[in-house]
Amino acid sequence: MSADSIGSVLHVRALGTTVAIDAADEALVAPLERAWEAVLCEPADDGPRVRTPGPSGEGADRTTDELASTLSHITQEVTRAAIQARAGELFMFHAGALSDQASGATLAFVAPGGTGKTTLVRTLGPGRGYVTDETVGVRADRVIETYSKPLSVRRPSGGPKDETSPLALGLELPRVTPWLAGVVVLRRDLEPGEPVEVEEVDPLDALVMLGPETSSLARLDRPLHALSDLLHTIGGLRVVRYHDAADLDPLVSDVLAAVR
Amino acid sequence: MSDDAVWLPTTALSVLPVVDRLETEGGTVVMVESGAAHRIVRLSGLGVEVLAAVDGGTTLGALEAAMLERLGPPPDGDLSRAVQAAVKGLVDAGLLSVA
Repeated sequence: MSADSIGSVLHVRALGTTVAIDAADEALVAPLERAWEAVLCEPADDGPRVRTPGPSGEGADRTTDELASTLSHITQEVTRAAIQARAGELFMFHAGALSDQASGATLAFVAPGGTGKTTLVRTLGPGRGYVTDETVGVRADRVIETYSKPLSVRRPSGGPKDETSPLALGLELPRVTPWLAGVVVLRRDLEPGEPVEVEEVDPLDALVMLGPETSSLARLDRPLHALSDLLHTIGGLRVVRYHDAADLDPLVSDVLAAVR
Repeated sequence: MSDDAVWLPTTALSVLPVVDRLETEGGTVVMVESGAAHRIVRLSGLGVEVLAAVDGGTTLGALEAAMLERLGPPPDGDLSRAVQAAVKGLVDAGLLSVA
């Protein structure tokens, strides 16, 4: 779907809600459509709305860097709006996630920003379903509300990262409804060549560890009980230490082989 | 109360509300509001005992007496120091208030 003819508003699916992106600058419409092509959708009446910055100045086009920064900012605004809209309804983890294209089994890998989620998605995503590289939204029944946002891709020359459609990177959206089969916390602190280390986390320590990597957890009903139940259902939390994302392929395959 | 504040036996203690509290055979965790965010804290055994002893409100002096009755003297014999350290930890975690 393209932008509305009136007001240039794009609509994107994020965490099970429809976010309207009000393009205050016509020059942003085409880049936004390219970046968000995977999740453009029909308008919804009750979804949140974000507004882009206005034109950069009389007769002055944005530089490539400025455009990249603006698109990145808009992504952050969409993320914030979607999280706010689903607060109290979903578990929302700061995590990337990939799903099995036949069963929907999904592994969420929790990590703070800039510590490997996008790299892991790009490395192990082909042939799997790209759920998100940012926020995993999980319902109480373990069904995942996808957020297949643009990926922030570093340029070889440096500078701001480019917001890039997952489709342009060879990734596919989930073909069947994803559901949470496992959660791991990523620690990219091994040296090259060292074997992947997987450690199970004590159930109560898991709550303490995951707390900072969630959004709006406190808005859920009895959040500690709910999160504890969720983790128990999926076999608990594990910490995974690694160096190369490709080394995690067996782990991902193992979790994605789960059945409900 | 600031870090250098002097706590007296008459210092009043009260338990602050938490978002949620989960008790299992393995221990206790609580979720505490922290501004617009939240924090999840795993309580020590001593922390659980202190919160139970403070319950609806007490004074530091009464808490020390209650802890002595519940747990006996600490290994080093300095009950006041042990209780104040536990109270400070709970205050820092947003679980107790002092006045």
